[in-house]
Amino acid sequence: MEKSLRGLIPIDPNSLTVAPEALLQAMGCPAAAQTAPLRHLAEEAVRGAGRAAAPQALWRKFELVREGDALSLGGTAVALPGGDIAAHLRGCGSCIVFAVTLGLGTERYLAGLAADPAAALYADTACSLLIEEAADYAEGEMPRHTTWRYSPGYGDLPLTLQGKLLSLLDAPRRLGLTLTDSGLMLPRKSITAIVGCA
Amino acid sequence: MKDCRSSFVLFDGAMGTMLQARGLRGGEVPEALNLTHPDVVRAIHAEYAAAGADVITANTFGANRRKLAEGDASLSVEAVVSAGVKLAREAADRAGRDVAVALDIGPSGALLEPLGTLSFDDAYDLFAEVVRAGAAAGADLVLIETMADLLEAKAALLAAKENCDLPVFVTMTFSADGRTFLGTDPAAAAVTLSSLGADAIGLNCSLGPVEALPLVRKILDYATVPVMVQPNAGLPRIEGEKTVYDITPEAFVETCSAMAAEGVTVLGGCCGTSPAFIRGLRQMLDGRAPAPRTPVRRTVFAGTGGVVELAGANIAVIGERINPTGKKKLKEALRNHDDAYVVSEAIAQQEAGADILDVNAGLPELDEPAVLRRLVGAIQAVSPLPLQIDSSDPAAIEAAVRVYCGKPIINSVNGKEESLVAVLPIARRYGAAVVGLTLDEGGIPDTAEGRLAIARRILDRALALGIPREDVLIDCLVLTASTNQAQVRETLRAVSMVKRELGLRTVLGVSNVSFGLPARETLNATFLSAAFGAGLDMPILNPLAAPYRNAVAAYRVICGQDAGAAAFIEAAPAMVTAAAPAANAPAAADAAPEGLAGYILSGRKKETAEAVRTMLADLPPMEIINGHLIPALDEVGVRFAQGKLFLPQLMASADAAKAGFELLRAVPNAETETRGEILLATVKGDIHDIGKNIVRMLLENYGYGVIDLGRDVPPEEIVAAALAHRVKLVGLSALMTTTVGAMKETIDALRAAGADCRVMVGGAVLTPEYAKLVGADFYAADAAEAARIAGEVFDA
Repeated sequence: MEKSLRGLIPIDPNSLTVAPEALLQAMGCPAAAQTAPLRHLAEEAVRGAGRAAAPQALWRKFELVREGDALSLGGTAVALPGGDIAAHLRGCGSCIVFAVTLGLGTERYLAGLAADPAAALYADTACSLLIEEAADYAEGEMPRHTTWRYSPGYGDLPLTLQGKLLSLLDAPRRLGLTLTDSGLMLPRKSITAIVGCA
Repeated sequence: MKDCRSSFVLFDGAMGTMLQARGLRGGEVPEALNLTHPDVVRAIHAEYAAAGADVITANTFGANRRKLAEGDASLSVEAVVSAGVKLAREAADRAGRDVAVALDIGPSGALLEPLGTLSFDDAYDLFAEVVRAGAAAGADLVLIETMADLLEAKAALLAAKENCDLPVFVTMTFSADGRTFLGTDPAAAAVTLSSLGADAIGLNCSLGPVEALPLVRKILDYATVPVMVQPNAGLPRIEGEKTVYDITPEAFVETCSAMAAEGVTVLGGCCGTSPAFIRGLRQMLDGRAPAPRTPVRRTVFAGTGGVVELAGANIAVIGERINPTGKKKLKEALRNHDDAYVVSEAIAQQEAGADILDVNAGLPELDEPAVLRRLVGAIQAVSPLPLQIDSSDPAAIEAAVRVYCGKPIINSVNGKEESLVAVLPIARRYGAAVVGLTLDEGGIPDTAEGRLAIARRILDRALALGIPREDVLIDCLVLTASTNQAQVRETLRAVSMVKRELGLRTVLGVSNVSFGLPARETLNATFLSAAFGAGLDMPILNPLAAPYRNAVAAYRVICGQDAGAAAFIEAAPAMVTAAAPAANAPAAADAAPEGLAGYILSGRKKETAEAVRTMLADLPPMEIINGHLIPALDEVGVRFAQGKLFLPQLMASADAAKAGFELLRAVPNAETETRGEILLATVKGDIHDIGKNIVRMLLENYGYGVIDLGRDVPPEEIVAAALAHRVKLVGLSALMTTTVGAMKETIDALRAAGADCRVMVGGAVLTPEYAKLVGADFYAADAAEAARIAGEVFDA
């Protein structure tokens, strides 16, 4: 049996809320300029995104191994390079690596809207907000942790770490979450991150 | 090796779980152990052989060039695969009984186009390389497993069948909702993989056996070949501080025993299973005979999402709208590579109740095989419906059917020798159903008897090739009532005869009957009802037209397909009252300025179109565009730049202006020539296209002709298009830091090719400095800026 702890968290999209006002805000439209027709479009987009999404998260806990300045995930061949992640996890004995995705249904949904750029923009923004909500929800279901989430590409933590984290989680098989050759996660509305535990 | 059609075949259990128990660390490449730790791998195989497995699966699951390179660039596919097969062979040979070796093929690790970036052909090549290495190393069969994308499974299956002579088993993995990550259900997978000629198909990984049981039943129901199951021992779960699997070997065996009793003949284990599980299965299977299975012979088609089945008197509607004949907008879209428009037509028909979508790209000036293949890819990525591949060119049919995800219908073959010889083998090879047209070298027979004779000939030729009778559909051909009135009844008579005498399902293109007559929809709807009465199973029609939809809904009550008339009752209010006006966004609460400019500025689509229509009484279209629409858009751009308007308002204004433009373009003989052509693309490796599409919309509003090459476009394609169209301006988009490199590469290639164009770039990660660095002439921070740049380039 594997020593590390892990889990899969199915997330009910109805338990995630995205306010239409927040969606318009994210599109650069301040509250004062948010008219009823715009709010109506935003509401439609939030509903559509919720219907298309099948959010799930996958997490796995690792001991942190420190050898000199080098930081790595215990029991694996995966190092966490760079000073920024080391600073982020200072004082932590272990960490949780997790991935959360809205699923490929979202990709299909967005691809179907390509002929209507306005609808596509609203829907894309709604999905972007939804995945953040899903990540927040997933964090609440994971074991106790003490830091905020830190993702590959932040600071000097290389984006190339993404593939290794996905593989550690068995994310391609469990979530249908894969990486393109250019390092793009598919489904695009996905997040990988590391949080520290005491 | 035992024949899984007549006896049980037992596969082994998990390799990954066993390797981890022996110290494989996360982040290491499991297949590399074939070379570095052969003893460990061989010992695991030996344990499974000792537990009673009939087939040992080589440690080659991820041994494709893409996944190996991800882990360790020095590993060669050939070396890893042949070492893996050799180790399995050594363990099998030492078992002291007949034990076979399976070459194991897992997913490529990348998502296929168009949602992903891996092309079907590249996926095929990647799998073919593994197949050739495995066959050369002496594998006895190929196991394609843990596939979550039916199209990828098809690429692997074709690669196996076309690159070796070994039996091929294919299993897919399903989520808790009973579908793959891409939305395919077990029935669609079973129908597709069976008809493509897999030797056994089924399910692996997914869930524990208990959760898998209902899915396995679905597969047993639809598969026409032996069924294979390798479930997980459940998902790992936390209890206190320990990771446990949900299920014991005993419980696992018990559920597998139930599956065997229902007809599964190939069993084994996936994640979390061990030799103990396989030993249990061996004991359960010993002395037991497979349950008899009599697969149902059914007329069934599969799309990415599910199947459409013609059972009993049921009918299915084929949507006809993706066919450029007589459709100006679609012609334009096909010429301009505007797949998004085609996709929106697919979705509209799907929402209007089409069961199957016909796809035709027959325009003389198009490269039909390439375009049809691309359209099929674009449509199946978003629509779950089965497709009917419609072409008279066998090369186009094969190109599209090959990359089709599901079991399609080919439309069509006919009684001419050259057609029979060219089209039927394609249907056979790819397991497609085929529509036979009742015409031949002598044309369309005048009598129903003559058409029946051709139908019979097509059927005989199909059967001789091994195409199942259920997959042959007959189109008795509808002639126009205005010129061949007597023929209309002959067609109906022929439909009845084909059904009665040959027992085949029938197809008719309904709307042809009314050609040249007024009130076409009324005539068509009545003919449709008469054709249903004659035995028509699949009308090809426009599902967006209410009279046909209503006739179909009503007939479904009459033939019993709509149980309890539930769907009819639900649709009834819309049938009896005039269609309610489309739900509009609530009107703006704040008072907006009147007049065309005011309507555009406040994003009011309907009012904009009405204002344009009114102006048309006095002004020529070009004057409305240059004197009113464009100044209003300019004003929108200025206010946006000043921070007085925001992106949602900009989009609403662009949408409103677009409604005005569309009206003007539809004016006959209107001179709405473009202000110049602009090429747009999202660069290679990047599939974000929302920003680019917004730019396109705005530029089109400004009267530019936009050639949109889409997303993930290689530099050479952009260069070729820029040269061919002699564009003065190219717009490139990239959203990720990792793809800005491709932007520079593209600009360098444009310059090297001597393209006489200027380049503007945009995208989330770009800055003016970055734009300079990649060699662009302009940095477009947003769509309004892109329109301003275009003005500078073209009006200079």
